[in-house]
Amino acid sequence: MIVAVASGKGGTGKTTLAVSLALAAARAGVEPVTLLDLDAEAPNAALLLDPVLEERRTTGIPVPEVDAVRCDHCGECVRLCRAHALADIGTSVLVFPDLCIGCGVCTAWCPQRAIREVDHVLGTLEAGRAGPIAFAQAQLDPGRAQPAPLIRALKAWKMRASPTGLTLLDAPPGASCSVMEAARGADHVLLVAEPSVFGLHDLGKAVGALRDAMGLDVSVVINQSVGRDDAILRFCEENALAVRLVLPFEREIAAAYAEGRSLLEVRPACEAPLVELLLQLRTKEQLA
Amino acid sequence: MKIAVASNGPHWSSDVADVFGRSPYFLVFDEEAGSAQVVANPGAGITSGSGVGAAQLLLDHGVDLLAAPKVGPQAHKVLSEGGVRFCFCKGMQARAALKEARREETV
Repeated sequence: MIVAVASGKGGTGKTTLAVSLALAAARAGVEPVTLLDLDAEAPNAALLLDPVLEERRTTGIPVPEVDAVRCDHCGECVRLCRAHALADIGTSVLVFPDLCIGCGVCTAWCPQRAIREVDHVLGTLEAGRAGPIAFAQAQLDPGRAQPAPLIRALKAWKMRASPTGLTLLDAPPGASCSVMEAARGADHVLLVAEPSVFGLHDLGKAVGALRDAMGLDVSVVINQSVGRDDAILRFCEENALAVRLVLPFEREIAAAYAEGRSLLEVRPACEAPLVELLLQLRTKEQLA
Repeated sequence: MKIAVASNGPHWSSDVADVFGRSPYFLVFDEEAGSAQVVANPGAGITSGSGVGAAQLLLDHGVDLLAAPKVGPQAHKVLSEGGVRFCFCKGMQARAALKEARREETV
């Protein structure tokens, strides 16, 4: 079973939930348990899990390099590039690697065969273990603009569908293409929402992207609840979203998080409801 | 010489656009022919790459001089290496921007 944890708003507790689900599943005997940190711009699940990272590779996208001698400035590559990563100024073809999506169309289509692909490094992928949990993360290099290819590469490298196991995808915040890339292929998406006007607003955007646009199975976990969840519960009811769990806002939990300690360390009682949540998702899958 | 003005609308009474790449129209004035052309910018609404696309559009139309507000670094590279000169203008009608560009050019 593959479960993505996403949110819309940042700081609602995606990583807290993903790490806690991984730990709870491993303790309940689920095997294998894998956690992929796909928040490539700021991966921080490793701070809670403290894994040993044994494997490391850089990843990028293939970007075009134009042979000035062969190029006859027909302009075909510029017309075909939907990312606008190429411009033909008549005397040379300019390439903008930060706009390129690495689709390879220009290279394949060039009538003069004047284009070859060179690697444009975007960041690093790392993998290892934290006890029983297989862990991997993507890290975008500073100044780079495209996290989605790194997310795709990490999933291709380490995501395995297993009928008995559990793979957790810790998505970036927001509702943009990198979130959609992170959640793609998930059997379920848990949206972690905080009961504030900001949390509610961004929850709506995430539902729009992941359920309405992508057709994924989406349900909600409310975090940082202080018992005034009316607005968010109403939203979930009106939009046919199951609320699977409500986690409280408590100073002690926040303090532990700030020290890089997991939720289950300070609230071992949360383990049972987390396992129950996973069972709900599995049951739903078997019924479907 | 061809002069392009980044414009919010298709008329010379329209306001100059706020951002070059997302400018909905370019009004192109051909000094030799004494004629004008409205060029719609197909990339006005895209999320990324609009500046480079708009710069290529102007090169394809043989523009020599651009009257526009802020031009992003990538579009600037395409335009300047493509031999297009700039006239910075903001908060005025396209007609006034054209006048301004022609005046600067003759100084």
